[in-house]
Amino acid sequence: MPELSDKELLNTINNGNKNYGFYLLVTKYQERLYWHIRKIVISHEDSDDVMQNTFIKAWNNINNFREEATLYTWLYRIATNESLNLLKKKKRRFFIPFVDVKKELANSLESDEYFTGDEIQKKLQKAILKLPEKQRVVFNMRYFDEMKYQDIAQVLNSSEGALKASYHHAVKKVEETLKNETY
Amino acid sequence: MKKHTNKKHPDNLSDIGNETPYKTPDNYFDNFPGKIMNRINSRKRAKRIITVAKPYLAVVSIFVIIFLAWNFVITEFVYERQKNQEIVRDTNAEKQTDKAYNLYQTMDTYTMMSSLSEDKSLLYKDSLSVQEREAIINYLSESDMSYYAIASQ
Repeated sequence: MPELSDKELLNTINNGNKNYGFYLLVTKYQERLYWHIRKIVISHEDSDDVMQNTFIKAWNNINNFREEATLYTWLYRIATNESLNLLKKKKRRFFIPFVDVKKELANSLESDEYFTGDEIQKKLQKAILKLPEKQRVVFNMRYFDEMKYQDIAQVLNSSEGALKASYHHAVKKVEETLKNETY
Repeated sequence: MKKHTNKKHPDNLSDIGNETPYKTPDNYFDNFPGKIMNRINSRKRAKRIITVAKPYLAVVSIFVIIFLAWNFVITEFVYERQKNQEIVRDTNAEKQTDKAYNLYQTMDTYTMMSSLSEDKSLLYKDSLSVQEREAIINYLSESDMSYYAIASQ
């Protein structure tokens, strides 16, 4: 299957065969988006739901996409919003505070049959879950996805300086949690 | 991507690495694009059906609204008006009966009989033939009956 550039993809979607163009777009970005979503919502089933909602939204709005943003930061933004919305919905559904949603995420991490990491990696994931929501998203994007601050700023609609500070605090907190729980 | 090390007591994050510790069910990424396109196409089909059916639904809705409105008008105004007219008619008839009763109460039998035989309303009923009318008049004139007896017969 040909991997087209973003420009070629958008051209195919808008002026050629929308279905085929969008199919190629999904194929190109599905993995990156999936791992990003998975690290926020943890369980595979929830990640699959969020993935579908993300691409449906992208399909509905692709004609309004303006090229001042890159396609992948636009998709990341939709995926991040959808993931955080799912966590909010969970909180509303069970009338539980956000702290307990985190506890629930930690539990689903514990029982996740698709978790392949070792004990240290599990501890790291649990430590990340203790971070405030936005800080967790920043940490995941920077640490795991190695995204540039400039791109993260576009996704989260924030300044690079604020994101650098947020990441710095997140790293400190995670390392502290790891130290306390290891020894 | 940073290299994943497996240190038992990590002092900092660089000792752990940044590999994603999750996996997906088998063939998830092979099947996902097809799954999402199916979902998009079924939504498109549903949307198309709604678009085609919309004008028809609008026309049907208009007819239903007109029918309900017409039904409401008929029930609330025309039927009520007819009912009121019937009530007025019934009330008038009752009043007339009461008036006649009161009048007959004041008469002796002979006067009452004469009055009844003069009461053309009974005689002019279309259902009665000339002979029947005369028979009634004769019967009423010859019988010495009270008003109540006549009424009961």
